[in-house]
Amino acid sequence: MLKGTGVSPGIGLAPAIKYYKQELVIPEGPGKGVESELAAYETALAIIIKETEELAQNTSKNMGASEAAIFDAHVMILQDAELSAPIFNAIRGGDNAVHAVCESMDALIQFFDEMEDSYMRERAADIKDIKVRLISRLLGVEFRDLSSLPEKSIIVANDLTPSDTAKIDKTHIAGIITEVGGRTSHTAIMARTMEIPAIVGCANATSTIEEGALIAIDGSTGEVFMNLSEEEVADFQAKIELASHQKAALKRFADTRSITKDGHTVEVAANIGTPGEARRAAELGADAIGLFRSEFLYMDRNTLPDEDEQFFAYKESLLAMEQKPVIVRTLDIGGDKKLPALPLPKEENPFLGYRAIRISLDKQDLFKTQIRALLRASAFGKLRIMFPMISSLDELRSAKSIVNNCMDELTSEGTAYDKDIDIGIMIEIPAAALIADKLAKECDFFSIGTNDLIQYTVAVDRGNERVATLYSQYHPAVLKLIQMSISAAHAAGIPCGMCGEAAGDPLLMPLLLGMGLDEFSMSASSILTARKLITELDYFRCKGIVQRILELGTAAEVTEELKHLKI
Amino acid sequence: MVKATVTIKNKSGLHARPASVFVKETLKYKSAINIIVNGKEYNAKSILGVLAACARTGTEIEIQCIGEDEEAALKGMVAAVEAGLGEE
Repeated sequence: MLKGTGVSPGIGLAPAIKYYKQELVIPEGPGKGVESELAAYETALAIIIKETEELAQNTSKNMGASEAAIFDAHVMILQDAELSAPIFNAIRGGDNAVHAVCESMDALIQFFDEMEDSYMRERAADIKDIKVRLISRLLGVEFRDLSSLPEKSIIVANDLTPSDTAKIDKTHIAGIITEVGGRTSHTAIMARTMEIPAIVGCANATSTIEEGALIAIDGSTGEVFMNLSEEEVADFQAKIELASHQKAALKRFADTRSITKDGHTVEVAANIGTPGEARRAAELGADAIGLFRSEFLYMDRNTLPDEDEQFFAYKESLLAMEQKPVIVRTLDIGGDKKLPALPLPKEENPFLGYRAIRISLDKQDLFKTQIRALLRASAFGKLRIMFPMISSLDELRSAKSIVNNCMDELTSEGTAYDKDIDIGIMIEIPAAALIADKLAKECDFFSIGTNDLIQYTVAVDRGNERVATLYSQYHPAVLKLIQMSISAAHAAGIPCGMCGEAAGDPLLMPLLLGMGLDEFSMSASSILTARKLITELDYFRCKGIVQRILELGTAAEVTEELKHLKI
Repeated sequence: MVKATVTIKNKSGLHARPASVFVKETLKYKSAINIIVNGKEYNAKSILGVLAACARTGTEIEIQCIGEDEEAALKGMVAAVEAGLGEE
């Protein structure tokens, strides 16, 4: 068995198909003569333009306009006479088409690479992508076409580029395995958006897995199963069938309200990272976006996104949600999340160090760019701004004063924004939960981030296998902090949500509902299950269990009690 | 040939979307259109040319149009820049 990081849940069972890039060998000399080399270039160019236009259309349809913008830019570059002129000249001067493309485009890549402007340096990567596709076409190198794979296959690759994943036809792909990448890699995000089971960071996958062999993957656990026995195959088939039945049965909950049997309404919301995911969440009937992880806009790239780029991404998400709330968390990096565009010094204790709001308050230019983009987008829907890692009133006040400065700037520039925009904070540090009553008086909402709250409360790094068993959302101390935060919010008249993984935990839901949690934000794929459960619960009865459970002494006792609830 | 000098007003200069809006506008006209930025001449009908000019907000650019519809072209291009190239 192989193991990687499961990044898109679901079981896949299908023959493995390996997808790899071939080494491109650039020939020297005149080739087949001027006329035929010119014709070869023109044909290749026309085909690549057509392919790229199709890519742009498919991407726009499947994932959204901002994801497609890069391919529109590629089309403009491909159609640019200044791209082709030096290539035509070189071929007329006796060069072969492949070599001419290579030389001429390398010069362009170098030109953009050396520019001071970081945005321009990114164009070098676009031109590189175009160059490789033109040359592969000219050389007749067979790129395995991801858009027309045999019925149901599992793709095994070292890595997939955005143009690779954009071609994927989800009806033909049963799963994706790549050797590189993490939870936030492009492949991971796209796989989740398309609901294809996926595993990334699976070392040696391409050398270990045999071409055409029937394999199974579990996109939750990150496990790859090979050499399957007949029983195992039947077992996986049964699991897949069961999952598809359950999915069909849940569909009707996309259009229902999140309301308990006795008429108490809550919000079941989605956690997202890109505008494309917002569209997916809207389709699944999410009541809100409870957490837009804005750092996804900053990751896997060499430059920081400017104000306009961010503005378009936020605006697109707001439009997708059609006036339903969208809570955007400001940049949350540091800890385990790194940005190539913003290198930070290595720290002894990154989770107790320079991260999230601490960076934003220190690098105010970076923060202001984001706040201005958010405020401008707020004119297009119900946007809410949320600060991560708040541990004191001072931080909240400083962050709010920067928001106020940006508002003044926009007012004097005559730019529209929502003047009554809600500003809230994450409760993810025990200190914040303990002074929740004070914080609640100075902000408009709370959202409890359980992942960090648990790790800071019980002092456990859950990635560390030797102590991971101590990490539990059922720990009485964690539950007590959650209850304190919700009560403090309600006492101040503001709502309290939750956007950690615990919010989607069916076992914990009756307790959280009983504590009065107003919003449950989770990965989009959990929304329908959660809403079904809410409609089956009775709020009044849930309230009745809270005190009893908070009296318990251990996580095991809490789990046992929750498993045997009769409500 | 007709020419005019304008200042790039939109926030991100001749980058990304504004650059493509600019180039798409030039393609509406038959005239050859060039821009002069910091003393260098670039083909305004080429996205690569316009990007290479690297004109930030506040930069003065000279637009030159040569051809049968040069008057209309110049008027159109100046108006597009003044309108902020699809940006604020």
